[in-house]
Amino acid sequence: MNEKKLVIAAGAAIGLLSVLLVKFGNPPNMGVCVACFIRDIAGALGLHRAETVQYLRPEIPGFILGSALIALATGEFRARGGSAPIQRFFLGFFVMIGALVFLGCPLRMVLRLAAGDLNALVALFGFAAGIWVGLLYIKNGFSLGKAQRLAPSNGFILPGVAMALLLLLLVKPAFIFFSDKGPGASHAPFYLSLFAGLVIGALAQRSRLCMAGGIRDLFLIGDPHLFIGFVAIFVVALGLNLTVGQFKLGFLEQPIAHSDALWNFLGMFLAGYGSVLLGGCPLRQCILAGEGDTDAALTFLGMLTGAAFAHNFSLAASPSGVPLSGKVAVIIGLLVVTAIGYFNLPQYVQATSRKERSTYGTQS
Amino acid sequence: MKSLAQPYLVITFPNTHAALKFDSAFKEKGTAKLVPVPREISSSCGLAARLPDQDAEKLIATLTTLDVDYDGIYRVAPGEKPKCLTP
Repeated sequence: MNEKKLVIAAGAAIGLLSVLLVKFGNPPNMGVCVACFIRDIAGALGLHRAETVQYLRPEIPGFILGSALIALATGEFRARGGSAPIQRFFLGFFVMIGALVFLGCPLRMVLRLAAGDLNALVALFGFAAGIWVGLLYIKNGFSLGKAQRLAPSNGFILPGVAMALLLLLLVKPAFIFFSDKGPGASHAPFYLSLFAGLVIGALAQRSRLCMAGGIRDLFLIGDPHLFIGFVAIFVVALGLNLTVGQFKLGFLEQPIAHSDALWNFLGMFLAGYGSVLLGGCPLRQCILAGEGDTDAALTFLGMLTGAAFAHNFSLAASPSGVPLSGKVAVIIGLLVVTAIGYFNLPQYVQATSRKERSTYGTQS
Repeated sequence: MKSLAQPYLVITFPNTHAALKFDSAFKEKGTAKLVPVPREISSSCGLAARLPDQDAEKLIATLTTLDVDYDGIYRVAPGEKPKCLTP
């Protein structure tokens, strides 16, 4: 299969599985949402106590393990890391805050759009604008530094965590929280969710599908290669939603969404801005973590922590709107991402290393 | 696809900035084009430069003159695995 067909197939599979997962019990327009599902996992682990969003979503471990298995099978599993891990952690943290103010990761944004939720169109403009601004830094030499090869054991840590999460879901010990009501109580059967996660993880690893990467390549070199995957998800999900009657066009009363245009725009602006500096959207971070990228694994932990903070400090939006604390958090996020962009431009990176050489002497 | 019928070279870079620097520095000399890294070379999703098949040694010398960081140079021929030309 050539590259283009693979991206289209991956996008189509995600579109199909997403609608199927909703049909079998996942929350409306949330067949797959990396941000919402990581948030639910944080809740299930008791990292936040929002009672309506607690479930150990098997789709997320599925993405990580699907990617890990296919990468191991094809010899592409490579433990690596050391490219600005702590900065990536915080980028992941704020990408999550932005996503939870919009109520969805870039993937759910496309799925919401395919179900007629026009708030997601506003968010798409925000997401693209965030990517465009992040690219200004990249064009001026922004880099989080090169990752190094690591001992293979490092690469197995997050896939190990993913297996542990699945085990906890199967065993259901008393310390794991499960929502009785709200989105957390809506879920497809375990095996279907896991199957969908594994298939999407494997296909996304093979195709490199990335919501942020698609728009980035379009802006940067006019190449639509990855963006086609984005379009395939939309077209297939739209077709299926129309067929099964899950399509409702408009801004108001959309499921698990609010219609505050400014904060839909800014939330996804922050998510796009952070994602492009990270080099990939939340889904892509899960896939890279599965391939042995420990920086992406730390980004994942940053997203998990961000999700916990989002609900512990009432930053996340709800269908009734965006709380003031959430708006403040997005503004702080924009400032932090801007600072990370700025201080990783070559003049600052090189100035620091020159100073270090003069202070500590040059290592030979 | 006609363009796949002939072998071509692909340069991979440590970051997007290096790819963009190569693109602006090398452009006047001809035929290079920035593309997503071909899937068969890497599972990463960065940018690479694609250019007609030529002497890799000379290309390395040019990259050094232009002060462009690169990861590797590959020869991609139809129906074959890409061959890495750099150590």
